[in-house]
Amino acid sequence: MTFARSLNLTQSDTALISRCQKADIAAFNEIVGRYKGRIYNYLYRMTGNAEDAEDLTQETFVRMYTGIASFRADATLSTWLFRIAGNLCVDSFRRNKKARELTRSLDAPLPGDDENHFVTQDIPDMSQAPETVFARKELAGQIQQALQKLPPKLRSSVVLHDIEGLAYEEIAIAEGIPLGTVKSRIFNARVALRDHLKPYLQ
Amino acid sequence: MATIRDCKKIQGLLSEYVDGALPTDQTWEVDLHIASCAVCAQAAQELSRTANLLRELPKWEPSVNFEAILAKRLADDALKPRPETWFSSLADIGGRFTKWWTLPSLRPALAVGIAAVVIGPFALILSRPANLNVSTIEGNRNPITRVTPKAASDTTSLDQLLREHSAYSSSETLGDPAALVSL
Ligand SMILES: [Zn+2]
Repeated sequence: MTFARSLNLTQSDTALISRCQKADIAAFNEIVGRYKGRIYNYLYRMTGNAEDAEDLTQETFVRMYTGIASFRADATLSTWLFRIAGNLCVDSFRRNKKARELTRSLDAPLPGDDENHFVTQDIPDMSQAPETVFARKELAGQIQQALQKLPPKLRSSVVLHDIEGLAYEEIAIAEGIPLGTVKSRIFNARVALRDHLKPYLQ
Repeated sequence: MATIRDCKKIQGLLSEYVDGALPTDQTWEVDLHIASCAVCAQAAQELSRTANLLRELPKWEPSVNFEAILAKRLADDALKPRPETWFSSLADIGGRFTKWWTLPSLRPALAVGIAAVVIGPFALILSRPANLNVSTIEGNRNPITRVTPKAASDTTSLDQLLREHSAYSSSETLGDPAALVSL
């Protein structure tokens, strides 16, 4: 079995997909093991929330499983999974936005996951006292907050590139946008992040 | 001597420059410029450090129960009542299958079986419950085709989102490089 397992690990995504299309559960299991970490991490960075990330990662693999017959060879498995995850994220943000609109009179709007939240709004001025900010929060938390300030489109491109390591071309396929748009989104996202994180760039 | 126009042009290339994604001639051009322009040199350094901060973030992992929960979700999904198209096509297959499929006493066994297959070792695949579930899932072709339009609507929702964001798309060009200069 160890031998079978090690053989299986070397199997290409393409081979796993075609096995999965023949309802081979072991192949599905293998795909989940291979990608759950990356999909979860992407969704965590998109939502900033472990619970939502877990739920959406689950849903990504459910959709992958039920939609495996429609998988087309023009995408790689990873770009396809990131595409499913990204679409689920968009739906989830929209649902949250609707829910917030319903309770707007009761609660102040939350910053962050609003699709229309522009980068220049509600940004704490961290240049004032970087030491105290440092003392109060960890750098990773600051970066996540800065990510949350980005419009989801920019956030998704920069997370896929700088955190998940996807090439520009892969992001273009995953998000269904032109290559030039990918580049400008990453550029704009980095400039905005740089502005938010200036005290930590020295 | 570098002009503001040079700086704007160079800064539009900096994000790709720090990724090492520029063609050789443009890389040269940027190299040459930032050797004599402190503003662009600093912008390049900051963009590079920003990208590094992101790269060095800790990687998060799903919970240890991830596979078990997923298996349950898939099993629940397989047992969920289907829309009319599903039921009508199910009826075509025949009453015997329908009865077996919907028999409540079989449901927990089926769920456990799927869970065992998804989280279990490969050896389980060859065992009887595994085979039962593989065929179950093969018999589940209708939900698979059922979901195809859903996948199409996912794409639609993305397109729709992009349209909703058309207001933002004015800044989809390489932004305002002046933002980079105003340090
Ligand atoms: Zn310059």
